[in-house]
Amino acid sequence: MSRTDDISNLFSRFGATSDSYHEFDSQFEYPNTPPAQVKASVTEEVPAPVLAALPPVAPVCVVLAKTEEQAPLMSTADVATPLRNLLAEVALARQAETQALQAQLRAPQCKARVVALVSAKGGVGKTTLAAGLASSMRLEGGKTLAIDLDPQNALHHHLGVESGVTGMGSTDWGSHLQQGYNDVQVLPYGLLNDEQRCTLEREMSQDRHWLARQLERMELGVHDLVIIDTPSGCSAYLQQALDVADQVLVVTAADAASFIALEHTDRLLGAEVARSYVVNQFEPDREFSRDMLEVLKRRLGAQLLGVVVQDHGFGEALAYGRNPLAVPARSAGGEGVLLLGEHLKAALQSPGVAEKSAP
Amino acid sequence: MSESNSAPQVAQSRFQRWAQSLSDHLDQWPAAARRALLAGTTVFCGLLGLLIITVPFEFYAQCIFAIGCFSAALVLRRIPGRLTILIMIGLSLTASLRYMYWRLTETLGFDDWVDMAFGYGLVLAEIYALVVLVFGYLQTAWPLRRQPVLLKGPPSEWPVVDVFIPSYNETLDIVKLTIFAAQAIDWPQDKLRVHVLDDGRREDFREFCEQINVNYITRDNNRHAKAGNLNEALQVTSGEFVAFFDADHVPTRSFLQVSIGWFLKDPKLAMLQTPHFFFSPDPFEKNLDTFRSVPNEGELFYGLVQDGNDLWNATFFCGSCAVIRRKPLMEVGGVAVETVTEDAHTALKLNRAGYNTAYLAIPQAAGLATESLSRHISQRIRWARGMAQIFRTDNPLFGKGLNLGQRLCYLNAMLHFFYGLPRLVFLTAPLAFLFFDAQIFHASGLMITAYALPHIFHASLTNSSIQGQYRHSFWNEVYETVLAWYIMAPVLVALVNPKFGGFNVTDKGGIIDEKYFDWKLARPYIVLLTLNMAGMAYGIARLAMGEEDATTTLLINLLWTLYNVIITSAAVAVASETRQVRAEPRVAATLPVRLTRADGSVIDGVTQDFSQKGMGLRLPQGVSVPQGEQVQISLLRSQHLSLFPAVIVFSRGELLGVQFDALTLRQQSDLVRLTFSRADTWASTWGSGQVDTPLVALREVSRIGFRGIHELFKASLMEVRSLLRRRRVAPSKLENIQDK
Repeated sequence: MSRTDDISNLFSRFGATSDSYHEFDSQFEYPNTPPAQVKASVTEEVPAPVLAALPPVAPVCVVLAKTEEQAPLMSTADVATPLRNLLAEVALARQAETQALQAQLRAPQCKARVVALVSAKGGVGKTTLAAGLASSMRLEGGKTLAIDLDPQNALHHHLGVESGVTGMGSTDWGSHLQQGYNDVQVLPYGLLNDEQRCTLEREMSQDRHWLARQLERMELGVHDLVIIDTPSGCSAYLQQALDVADQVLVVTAADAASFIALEHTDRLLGAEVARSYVVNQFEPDREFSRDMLEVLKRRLGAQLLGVVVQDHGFGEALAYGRNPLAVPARSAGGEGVLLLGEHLKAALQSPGVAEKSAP
Repeated sequence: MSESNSAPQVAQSRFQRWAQSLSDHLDQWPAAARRALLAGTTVFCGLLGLLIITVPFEFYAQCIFAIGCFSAALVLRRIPGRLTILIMIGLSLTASLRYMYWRLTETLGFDDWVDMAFGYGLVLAEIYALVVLVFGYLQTAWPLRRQPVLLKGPPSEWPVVDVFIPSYNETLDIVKLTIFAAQAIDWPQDKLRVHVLDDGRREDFREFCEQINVNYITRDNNRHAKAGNLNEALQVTSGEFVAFFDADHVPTRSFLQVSIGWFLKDPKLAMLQTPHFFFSPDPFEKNLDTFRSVPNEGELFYGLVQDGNDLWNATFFCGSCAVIRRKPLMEVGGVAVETVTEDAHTALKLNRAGYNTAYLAIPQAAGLATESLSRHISQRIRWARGMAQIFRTDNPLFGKGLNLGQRLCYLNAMLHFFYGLPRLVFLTAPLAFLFFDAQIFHASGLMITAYALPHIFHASLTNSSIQGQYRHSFWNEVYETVLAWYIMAPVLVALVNPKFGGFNVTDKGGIIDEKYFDWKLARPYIVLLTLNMAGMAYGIARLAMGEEDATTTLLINLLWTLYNVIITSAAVAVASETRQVRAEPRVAATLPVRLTRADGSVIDGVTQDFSQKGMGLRLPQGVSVPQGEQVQISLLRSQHLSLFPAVIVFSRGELLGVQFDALTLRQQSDLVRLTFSRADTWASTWGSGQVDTPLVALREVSRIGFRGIHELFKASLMEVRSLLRRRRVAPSKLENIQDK
């Protein structure tokens, strides 16, 4: 049930539509009274014990992965006994069969909640933001994955993962996940040569649900969360990300170039894709930046999910390999990311989204 | 008046098409010819009507005529549409005026002084009832059913609106709700100015308003009560429009966007009123357990009467849930201060000054009904006294600026409150014959039956057809009977001396700790009930003893007394105050809600009801959460999801009761936005009640009457018992009837 429902209910009583209705999300300045703040901190602590109970989900992925990986292992092994060859063939055939069956029967289903960060224009801090969200957001009782769909292969750096060699290209994602800040599981884009990249992109353009299948194979649970970083502008990666995303978060900056790019974003995403926006790199001490934000607010209305201020701490943290959201050093930008995460979470958990994705 | 204004759900029948083509045809005539036709038809109808009313019939002829008319009405009743209503009104007027003509010309030959006193008293009461009936028909024959005009321009062109929330002695808990909701009205933030007008000058109010950034206005005196309070605030504010909400009327977020449109369309429009809707039961509904099943006292007024007034451009201002354009209001000197019903008087002044007033029958705010009978009664006393004051000081029949329709609508609104004395006359009239053998009706029983019954039956049937959705048959009598005794004296006093008496406020939102019988308030009805019961017993005894010549008359009077017994016993039932468990009434509404348990698991459910402090939830089948668990309740609004920490205070199966923990101001505001300020909650229950059928209504009233007698009996027993134990049962007194 969306917020406009009550308006359209009312307006339909006298034969009008709610189109002419204006919603105002006026934010009032209220002081926070202490009792509720105490409450809030209590509830934030709650997820902690749940996390400990998580691992049981992961091993399942690993076990499944092994059976698949053994096929190539055996064929390359020196002991090429006929029985093993036959077995490998059978295994391959079965695999192909099940794959075909899956493709036939249904569109792949990913139970996890997926957030895709997109932008028409580069340099708006998409990757930084993706890393921030991935390391700070977690749905109760689930794990968070960060998947890098950007050939720049930068996301893992932001999450404190050293090696980013294998990733996208591997057939089995589950086994190539690496642990980043705050236990986030990172899948880097990986180092691909041109040929490999072309193959990958061809695969994507041929199979609309390529990413969805990959995610499905990882057997994620309903409480798991996937954050996807995409390259700027139009690409096969973007289409894949849009295909699976529950929430499309458009990252924009409070400047003219980003504003112009909004048009392009609309074309890029098409009319049907529901999206929300975040204004990144906002500089509250500059009047121009404030004005730009106001313009964006008017343009985006309720779609504007959050504002993150410009924070050089992020760049420095990247340089020194620190988690920018680590508690003692948390800055204004960090707060913004956390707040954005809360809003995203709320939007994901809202009954409306649940209903939409259930059938 | 276009056809589309009348009930749109009725498809055009062949007859309607024929009527339409006829009127189209007439439209082509020259103006003079049309005028002549109109005048001719009017004169002809007038003469014909006069003939029908005055022609004398003997008994059988009158019977046949009456049966014919009534059968016609019964058939017509089944055909929906405004035309049939108009014909039924015509038939009813015929029967009633025939009766009155006959009554005045044939039945007044009284023999002695006793007869004459009782007789003329009854006739006067009957004339009053007839006048109110006729004006009522005029008022309600054709409700305008105005539709809202939506705003076309961009928000930057919308006008500035001041929202006034006057308060005197309501608690902050109640007023908070209204303030948060007023802030959440969907209107550009820089053009919406919320002002709390605190005549109680309370520190907690000032502090609260400061915290949430709402203007707080006080004055150094309390002159002219609410009206003075509003006027004072008009001096220090400047918006083009002013929206008024009583401290306990919570506006929806769509209030202004639904109501301002008409002002932009009609530059002469000075005031637009929306219904007063109550989300808690009034004392009638509470004590009789008829909440939402029988339309309440106010529903007729806001469902039908105001809509009918609107046709004549005579909508009253009701003090709350309304928008007024500042300029005309200042022109007439602000809110009227001469009477205690400043609202209706202000509207009268605006109409006199040549401005229009409008009514929009879409509930866009809801409030608390008065929660005890004594407060309900004192509120009605104030209205009645104020109306009598206007009648005396600024009579709508005289003075400049009103057209005939407006004069009659205002007049009827005032006359309506004079029902006290006539009602008591009707409730006691048959006793005059039963006890004293007074011949108040100088006619044979059969003739009375033949003339009076058609009058009564037609009036009931027609009113039931017009009002069925908004008032059930016989309930009017119950409401009036409860109030009659109490408003009679103040109205008479105000008629004699309009300056006498002060202003009393009705304060709301209390708890009635235990069920009790309001002896003091019930006393008048108990007296009436006892008298009528005694009269009935006496009459039956007389019948049994066999008074040869008086059998029919006795029977008629006994039937009348029986009816009076039913009505008064129902009135007695109202005085039995039932427990009101929650300090805050809950609103029934089904909204999707998500519950996050302490262990992080999530359950989707729906709300059963909500209040400021808690919610009733229904979870999916087979799911339950134990009592005492700390949970988070989330309600959805666009992409912002609001979380409210709460604790389970009640759990049975999949039904839960939760109580919110101490919420921050922001959370409280969010909660109000997501619940009370929803645009459709009140509108969806509006006018959707059961439609009246007179016989069912009579059965219901009789059932309640039996219960009233039962309660009275029980309460008497208790009283006797406690008297024996020398313990006093706490009685209530009529609060601040005439304070100050």
